[in-house]
Amino acid sequence: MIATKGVKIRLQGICVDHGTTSVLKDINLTINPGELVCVVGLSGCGKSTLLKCMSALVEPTAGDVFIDDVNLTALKESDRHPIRARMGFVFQYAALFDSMSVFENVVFGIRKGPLRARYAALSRMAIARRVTDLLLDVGLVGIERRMPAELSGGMRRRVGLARALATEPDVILYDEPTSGLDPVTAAAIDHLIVETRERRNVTSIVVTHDMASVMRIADRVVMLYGGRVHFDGSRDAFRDSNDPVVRQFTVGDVSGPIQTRMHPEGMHSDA
Amino acid sequence: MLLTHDIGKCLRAVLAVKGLVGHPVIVREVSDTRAVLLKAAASALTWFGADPLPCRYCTAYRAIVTYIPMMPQDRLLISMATRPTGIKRTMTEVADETTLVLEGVGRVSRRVVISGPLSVIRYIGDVFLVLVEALLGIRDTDIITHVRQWFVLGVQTLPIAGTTVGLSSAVFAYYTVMSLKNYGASGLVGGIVAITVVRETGPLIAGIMLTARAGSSIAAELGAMRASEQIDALRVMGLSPVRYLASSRILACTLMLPVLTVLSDLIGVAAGGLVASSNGVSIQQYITSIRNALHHSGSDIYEGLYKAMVFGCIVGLIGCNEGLNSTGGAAGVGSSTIRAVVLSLALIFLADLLITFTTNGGLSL
Repeated sequence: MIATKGVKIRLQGICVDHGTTSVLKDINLTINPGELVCVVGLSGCGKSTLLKCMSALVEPTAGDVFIDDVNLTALKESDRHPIRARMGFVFQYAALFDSMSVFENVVFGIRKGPLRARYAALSRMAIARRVTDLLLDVGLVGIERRMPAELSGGMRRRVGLARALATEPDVILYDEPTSGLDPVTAAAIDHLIVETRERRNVTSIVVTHDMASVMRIADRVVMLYGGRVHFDGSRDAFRDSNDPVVRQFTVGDVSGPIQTRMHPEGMHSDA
Repeated sequence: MLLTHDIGKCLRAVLAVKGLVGHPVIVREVSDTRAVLLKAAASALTWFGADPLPCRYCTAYRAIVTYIPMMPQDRLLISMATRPTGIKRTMTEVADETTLVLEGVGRVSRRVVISGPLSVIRYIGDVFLVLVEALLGIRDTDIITHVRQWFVLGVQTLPIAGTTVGLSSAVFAYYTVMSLKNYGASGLVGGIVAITVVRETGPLIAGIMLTARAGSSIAAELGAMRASEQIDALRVMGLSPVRYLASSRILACTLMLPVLTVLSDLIGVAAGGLVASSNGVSIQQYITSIRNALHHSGSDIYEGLYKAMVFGCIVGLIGCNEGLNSTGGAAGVGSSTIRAVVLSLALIFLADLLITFTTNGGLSL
């Protein structure tokens, strides 16, 4: 297994508006190399948007994203490709290519991505072995020829993780990797996330609202509320926080400062 | 604009959400009858791009809350007017309502006069950029992907294109031969059918069929890929979706429609010949008429093929652009497919007109 190095991600004054709604307001955040950060918050509070800002899949209305001091937001789309190639993104529903088999999905970045020259010397056998190893790493055996439609939700996410790992990224972004999964599969996915970070030293950012996952995997927790960073600290500090908003979120209480009634546009108000 | 029931409650909520606390607003309560009209007006304004919000606390619509932007040079516009239901409107309120109407007219006018043309120019620019990037990406796509697209988008469209061109040519030949019989010139039917099919109906009907089958399928497929984040997955893996997905599809449509047109032309002329022969025109007469009518340099055929290439490019380009820019999940996929088909058809007819006039010397033809 090739060890990779984590990258530093810095968000500076990130604002994202959807129409007249402000999803993210002045987000300032620095994520250090090799860190495993969980971004938590209520549904619709902008967690996934923040993750997509980090990979420039969503253009911020204002602010900059720095990946190892390179300003990603200032680059042209074509110049972003080499930087994105250093990132792995595990999508909420895996986003596997429907028309390709599991093998083709996992090998896609190796054969077609900007880093394909790195793997050009590998024989077909070596690539096939590498795909098998990657699938084995995520706990899947003998499913190379199956199509995504034939897989369960948990298997799809594992394949998504294998695909993200294929090009040995320096940072992996996980978008709600355990949502909708049973507790056992969710715990297995969490174990994979931690193991991947430990074996490869990748910077990992996990968006989730699953508190059990957060307590299992996080080094650090960032909580978004009302479009802003409401809490940023260690997992223990998050768990023991007396902040009413954090407390209500961790306990899962209906009564408290967090409004349970949704704004018509889907955003929680600032209370 | 907010239409609401509980003015105080809703006003506070809206000001907080909109970040307008401290800004001047106008609040007015209205009667039940006018509330119904205002609800309809709100729907209409939404259609025109305004931003009316439904009430958070109730389903009734009893007041209007309007935000007046505070301009530095216009600090005098601070007004907050409320009154209970049933009291006659003041002149200030009438003036405010007039202002609202004028604002609405202004917004619609701005949309029609400025935003509309600007969005058309932006769309043309976007499509042009997609075309350039797709052309640059043709070499990046492997030959297997290209051949697969030629087969899926081109070869599989042949049966329906050939059938429709054949049927329309048969009908056209029938009407033509019946008309020419009155003048004793039914022997000319072959030439008339051939020129019409080769120069106009062949490429046009094949283009329409390509739009119906391939254009819609491209938009729906790429739209579904976007809705399921597969397009984002491509981007985050450092690949351009236009180069990877659009290049092969646009090239396939551009190259395969002329092929479809040639084959459809043959079917159309043959179908016309069958109808003509069953109406007293011999096959020999029919073929001779075709030979005499079609230009020996092949310019009639070239014009048809040129049209087919342009139509094919339009179908592929618009289908890809709409699919890649689809938003709004499953409903968005449907909308982008409809837009792709409608826009492609409109542009095909426009391109047909322009090509016909430019290649034949304009309206004096």
